[in-house]
Amino acid sequence: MSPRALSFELRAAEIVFDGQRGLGGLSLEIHPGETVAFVGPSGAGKTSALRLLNGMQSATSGQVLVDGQELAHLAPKERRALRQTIGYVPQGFGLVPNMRVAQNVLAGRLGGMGFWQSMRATLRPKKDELEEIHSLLLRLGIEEKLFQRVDSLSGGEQQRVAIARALYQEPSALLADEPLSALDPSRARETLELLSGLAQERGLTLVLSLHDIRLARELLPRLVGLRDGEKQFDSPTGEISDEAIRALYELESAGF
Amino acid sequence: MASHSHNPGPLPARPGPFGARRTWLLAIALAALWAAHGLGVTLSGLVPSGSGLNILGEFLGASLSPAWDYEVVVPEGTVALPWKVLDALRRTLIFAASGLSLALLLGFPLGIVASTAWWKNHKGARGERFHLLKRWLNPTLFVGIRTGIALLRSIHEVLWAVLLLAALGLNSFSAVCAIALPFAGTFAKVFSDILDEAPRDSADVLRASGATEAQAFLFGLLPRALPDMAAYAFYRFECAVRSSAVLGFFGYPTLGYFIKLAFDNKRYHEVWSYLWSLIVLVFVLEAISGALRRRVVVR
Repeated sequence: MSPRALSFELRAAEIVFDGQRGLGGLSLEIHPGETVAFVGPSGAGKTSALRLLNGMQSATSGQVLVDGQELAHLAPKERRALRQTIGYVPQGFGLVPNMRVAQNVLAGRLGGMGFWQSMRATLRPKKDELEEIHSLLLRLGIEEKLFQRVDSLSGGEQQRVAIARALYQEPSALLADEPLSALDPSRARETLELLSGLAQERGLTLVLSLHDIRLARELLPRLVGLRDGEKQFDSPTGEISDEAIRALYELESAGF
Repeated sequence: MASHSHNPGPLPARPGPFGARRTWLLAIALAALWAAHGLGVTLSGLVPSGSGLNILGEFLGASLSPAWDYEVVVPEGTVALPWKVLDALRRTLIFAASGLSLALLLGFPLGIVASTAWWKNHKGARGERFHLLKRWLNPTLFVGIRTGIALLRSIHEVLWAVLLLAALGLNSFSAVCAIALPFAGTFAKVFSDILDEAPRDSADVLRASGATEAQAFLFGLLPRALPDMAAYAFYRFECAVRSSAVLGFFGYPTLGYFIKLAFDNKRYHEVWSYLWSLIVLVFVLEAISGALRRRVVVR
């Protein structure tokens, strides 16, 4: 179990890209240990909303609070310390393809290391570090890949390496951007179950962005619907009507 | 086609016959003609004179029968020609390898600090130590480094050889530097481009997990660029071998030196012994470096 799960709060957070609004004043609260998914059509602002939470995207106006601290007010050092407690699995995984699985997973903990220590860990991982990584990979079902180069793995395996890297960080929250986009339907269910299972086990706050609404409705407790950067609904999954879902994904001009 | 359904309306305005591209091509062709006229280039200059034709024929004729032994009487105790050729090859390789090693030693760090990816994340964010100093100093340093690199590589290795020969005299170090300096400039330029074009997503994740900018660069961006950098370095080794051979014309004991000596004495068969061995060497290196390049490439 991690020390304590993180809470997130957005207060009228707005993102403007080149004069165009990417995300309109979004407000929501995510409690420690909660599992939430941003859902909606592509271009709805799901990824931007997710990246607000670890400060990889800064809000043009409004506030982002993590664990009660306002991100914009943190000094670089404090921001880094906070980010070390947030695991991030981006859509493209962000792995280094020409390095081994072990090295990629190790990278999750570089945040807390000094220069020489990170050199040593990357080039010559210690036995206990490797054992820890191995047991993480075992949980994810790819333990035999420990010393393989990442570019020799399948897409699904690479995604598990990215999840392992985020978990090796020993985070208090996990952010996963479109974790199902590269998977076939059966794998997608498995992965979503794995992620929410891991969050349960470790008591993590889990925030996802998902395109696939069907699985999200089936497996996740709370959904935030986004469309054109605007929040359409934010409620427990059971209370969301089919009508609301249909409206979320409806094509703009259905006049063909 | 269903031409009856819609009237497509008039065609969009057709571009004129003298678009920007055609105008440029025409201007370049005219400039070439003008330059040729100014230099007095005529086709008759391509036809060699009678004696020149003889030399050319003799020289090319010798290509099919490179010498296996000296064409003239040599003093007692001189090593056999094949050994001498091999020794010249060895020296050529040594100069090339030394020059390239030094070039890598200089060019690798220069390439890093010449990349925009490095400076982008060191521009002195608010709250950082010395951020005002950094904001002023860093752009100055960046422009200075880029200019220095441009100077290094804008001078050809043969010119460097002339300069260094005058400054340092005929020693191995001046030859190695003559290769290393322009090659370091090229490495720095190409490495910085490779770094700037490398995918940034791995560095992005590191940043997201609380790593410093330096860590994100070293462990996220640099590893993505290393395979291409290595492949380029292998390729440059072939270039270094050719440069090393040419430096012999200035008196360094590489292939060029022996080629010049033999050529000046009209021992064309010996010239071809050296030339063929250089050609074979370059082919072998190409095969080896090609195989290495294929190995490092990211699948």
